[in-house]
This record gives sequence, structure tokens and C-alpha cells, in this order.
Amino acid sequence: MAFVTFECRSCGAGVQSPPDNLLVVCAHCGDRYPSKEMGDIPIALIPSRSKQAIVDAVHDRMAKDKQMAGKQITIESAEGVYVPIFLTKAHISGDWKGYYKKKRDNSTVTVWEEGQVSEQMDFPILGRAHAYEFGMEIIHRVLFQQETVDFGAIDWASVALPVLPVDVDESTVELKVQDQLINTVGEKVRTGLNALTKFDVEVVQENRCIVLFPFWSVQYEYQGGHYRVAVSGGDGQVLAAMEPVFLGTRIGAWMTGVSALVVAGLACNGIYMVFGTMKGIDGGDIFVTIIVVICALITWFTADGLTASVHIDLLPDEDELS
Amino acid sequence: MNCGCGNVVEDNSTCTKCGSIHEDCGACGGQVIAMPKTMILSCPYCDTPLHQIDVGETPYFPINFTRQEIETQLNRFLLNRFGIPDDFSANRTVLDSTLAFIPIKLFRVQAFLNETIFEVDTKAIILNPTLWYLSKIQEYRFAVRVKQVMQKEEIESKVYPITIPDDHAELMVEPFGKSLLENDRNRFKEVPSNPKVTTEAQGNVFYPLYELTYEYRGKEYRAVLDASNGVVCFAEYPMCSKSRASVGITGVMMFVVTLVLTAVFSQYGEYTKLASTVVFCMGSLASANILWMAMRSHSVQESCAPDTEWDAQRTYGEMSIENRKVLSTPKTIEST
Repeated sequence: MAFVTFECRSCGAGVQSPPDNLLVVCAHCGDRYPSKEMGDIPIALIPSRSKQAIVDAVHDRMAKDKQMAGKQITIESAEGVYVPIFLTKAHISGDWKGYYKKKRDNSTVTVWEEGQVSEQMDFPILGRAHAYEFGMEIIHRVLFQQETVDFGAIDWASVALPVLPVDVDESTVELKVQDQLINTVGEKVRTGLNALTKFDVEVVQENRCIVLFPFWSVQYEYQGGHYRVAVSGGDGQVLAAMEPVFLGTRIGAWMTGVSALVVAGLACNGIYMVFGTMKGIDGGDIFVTIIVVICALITWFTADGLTASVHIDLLPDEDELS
Repeated sequence: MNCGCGNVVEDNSTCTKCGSIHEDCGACGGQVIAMPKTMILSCPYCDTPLHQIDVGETPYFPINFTRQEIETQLNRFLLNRFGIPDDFSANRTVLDSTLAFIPIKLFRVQAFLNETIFEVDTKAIILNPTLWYLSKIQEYRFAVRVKQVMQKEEIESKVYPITIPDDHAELMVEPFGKSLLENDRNRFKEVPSNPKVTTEAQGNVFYPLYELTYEYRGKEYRAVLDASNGVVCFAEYPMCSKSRASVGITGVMMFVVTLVLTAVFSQYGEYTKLASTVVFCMGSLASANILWMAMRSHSVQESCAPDTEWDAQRTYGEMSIENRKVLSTPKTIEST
């Protein structure tokens, strides 16, 4: 890899910096080298577990997996880095109005709803626009379960890992916070509504810091194929795992396609007969059409299931878990 | 000064052994080492500019992977593809590995639905339409932020010239802005809107890619890899005959099942014609798709970095961190 290298002014160790940095942290002592664009932004860190603990977490995960249990895997590499995440304390407030439609006495009525939004939160933005590792996209699912340590109070030698330099400037962070926060809260408000007709909100960004999240990428080999597992270094949770696709899964994909054909036939023949001719129930045609379209898509994608290269298992979202 | 390779070099000189460039910052005296053939634009200690690119000159983004490293990257990537032959590593020969610089123009795009609701993203436009793999990398997210560049006089690779003028590039970025706008339109369907798309050109850069051609059992396959971060942008790969045969058989089996189900549904039920027609059409198309998968050549496209917008389900929370930077001018944006 081609880096600019220089000697750390605090500990004398060699520091490597890729060409696109805005903030570089010495991986030996934690000294910082910010560009003028970054200024003096504070940093907190989630301490990482040891490499052995991460490898053990991967083995545990595989042992509990329905398909991988008992399979012999070889860990090829385990590389940890601290991923910089901008955390912005933001407050969003305002009014919304929207409607949903429901059926009542053989007619459709529009029900209007309105309310207020007032939320304060820490909103995370990845400090790397371009470095992407498998599993990095779901860091936020475990981020808020971790305990941070103030950067100044860290025994750096015990937690040292390379720190990915920041390549997103603060003006971009400000725009992204506003953009994504409104999208996220807007999606939440819109749930259950057909449309929003008013969404007047204001976003105030109060303070900001960088949190360094320990992210491990473990590569294992199984029968000649190489697969990756992403692990949260703070608590050892497996964020995402690539697995081989076994014969059983491919047979399952084929069976699903065939089942969809049967369901489509039954929908046209049986369910149509029931819903299409019963008095007082409209929409029998639409119902059948929806079923047939879904079945058609399932059968069409049977080919993709049969020839899939890897299966990706993601850590479920906290909301899904609950 | 000691070079990383063990050689002793004088200040502000190039290592005679490995070619690394050693330089002292004029402002803080910090000593920095750049890889061969590159130029550092700012000091990593104090951020003082060390070199400047001539106005109007398009910089060359540095190469971070050697040919050997990039071939290893490709091999590892392809080894877990479905149907890759068991002897792929042993019988694969790289015929050609060309380092090519392609010209791209970067834009920051903001799509406003109204004063409050907007989308922001970056888009790279490739400024040469003659690349054979253009369609494969149109959506690729190039990792560009120039702080270190290649020395122009040291470029010995293939360089695709800029053939698309700036105004045309701006036109090409418009559909991307519109697609961003469409995202917000779908989220906030009937919210009063005053749509506007703004694009801000952030400059041109020549970006390094490896164009590879490799041979496996007498047939040639092509691949394109990012020379900066090693990502496989696009790759063709072989599928062994055993895998093709098994997929083909499942396609034939699907068609047989389709015929059986068509016959069954044409015999029983109230709406036999409709049911049998639907089942026959769906099953035939699915069978044809499976058979096509078994016969066609295979390729894969990767994206460097998906958009950094995390999925919306649980994006935020609270974290106990006392020491934070208070934003000196808290920005309040109000909609009207």
C-alpha cells in the first residue's frame, strides 16, 4: 500500500497516512494529526477486545449456526481497525399532518391525523466516505450499546489498533445530519399513513465529537472459498457473516419456486372463486392479481437462489429483535 | 535519515534503493516519506501545503496496489463464486494487466424538495465514453480526496484522455440529482415542494484502474480492479460444467413440473383456463431464466462503498460522552 509515512512527534513510531486523510491518529500512542479542516474536534473511543476474543466470537457464532455447525473452518486473518464516527447531538422539532384511508360501510374515507415531532438524539455519520468493509453498514445497530472512554484517559497500549483516518469534513457532516435525520424521522412519522401533507421541522445541531468504533474483519476459509465475518470489537457481537450456500439451500430455493407456481394456480382457481363472487367483498380481482404477481416474482428469482454465491447473515435490528 | 527499506538517505532526496521520496516540511521541520513517484500536497504534521498542482492540470490519484497484489485480490474474490472450477487457481494465467488512468469529474449534488428537505451526495462522471467497461463502472463510487498525487512525469501507464467537456458532464450529472429528488418525493409525497437540484463541480482527477485479462482452459476473461483500494469493480469468471449441468437439470425439472401443474389446473376447478395459463406462463419463464443462467457467461460487479446513509430503522440513540465540541454557530434551518 502506498502511504505517506512520518515519525510520530510523541512516541517516534512510524505513522502511515493514506492520501485522503483529514485526521490521522498514531496507532501506537494515540497522538493526533488533524488537518486545518478538522480543527480540534474531541475524540472518544470504544475499547476493543483482544484478537483472540474476536476469533473466539467467530467460532462461537459458527458453532451456533444451523448450517455451519460442525463444519471445519480455518481462520485466515483477523484485522481490527477503529472506524471514526461523527456523533452529533441534534434536536428536531416541528409539526406534521397526514392522512390514511380506510373502508367504512362500502365506501373509503380519508382520516386526517396531525402531531408534533420533538426529539433529541445523538446522530451518527460515518467519518469515512469511501473506505468500505463488509459489515460496516450496520455498525449503528450496536453503536449505542457500547461504553466509551474519553480519549485522554485511554491506556493506548492496551487497546491499540490502526485508526482509519477521517475523510469527511464537518460541513459535509452538517449537511448529512440534516438530510438523514429528516429522512429517518420522516419515515417514522409516515408509518401507517398514506401520505404526509405537512412536515415543517427545524433541526438544531448542538455539539459534535468523533467516536472510534472497533471494527474487526475476519476472513475464514471453507472448502477453498474465502468468506468474511464482521465483528464489533467492543462487545464481540458478530455484525455480519458471509457463509457458503449449501445444497439444501439451493433445493429450498427450487422448492419455493415450485410452491409459488402452485399458489398462483390456486389463487386463480380457488381463491378467485371465493372472493370474486362473494357479495359485499370488492377487490377480489386485485387480491388475486397481487398474489399472482408476488408468486411470479418468486418463481422468476428461483434462478438467482439456485446460483447464489454466498449467503449473507446480518445481525438483526434491535427493533426486529424486540 | 533512515529509509524504511534500511537505506540511509539525505534530507529532501529520493532513496536510491526503494525510490521513496524523503522531504522536510519548510514550516514545522517535520520529515515525511512519500511512496515512489508520488507527491505530497500537504504536511501531515501541520497541514502546510508542500506542493501545489498547476491550475488547470488534472492530478493523478496514487496507486496503492501492485500488480501482484491486485491479482491476488482478484483470485481471492473469485474463489467463492458459485460454480468456480476447483482447479481455477492452478490453471488461471494472467495474460495482460494494464494500469490505466481514467478521467473523472466529481460533483457534490444537492436535491432540494423544499427549503428543509433535501438529499446530498457525490457523483463521479467518467469523462471518456470509449472505455469498454464504461457501463460496468457507471455506478461505482470512486474514493477520491486528493492530498497526495502521482508525479505527472513519472506516469508510464495508459491514460485515457478527457473527451467530454465540462458543460456536457454537468448535463450528465442531472439525472443523478433527479433520482435523489425522487427519493424524497417518495418519502414526503404530498408535502408542499419547490424542487431544485444544485451541482457543484469539485474538480477532475485521473483515477487508476487495473484492466486485467486472464485465461482459464483456453478461454479469456476480463476484470477491472481499483488500483487505489483493491476493490473488484467488475469481473468475468468461468463456471464449471458440473455446476452448469446441475443448474440446467433443475431448469428442465422446473419446466416438467410446470407442465404437470398446467395439466392439473386445466382439469380441476372453476377457472381452469385462467389458472393453467398463468401457471404455464410463469413456470416457462422461470425455467427459461434458470436455463439461461446455466448457459450464459458469468460476471460480477461490485460497488466500492454503498451510500453512507445507514438504514433508517435504528439510526440514532444517546451516548454518554461529556467532552464534545460545541458548535459555535448552531445552525437552525426553518421551513416556511
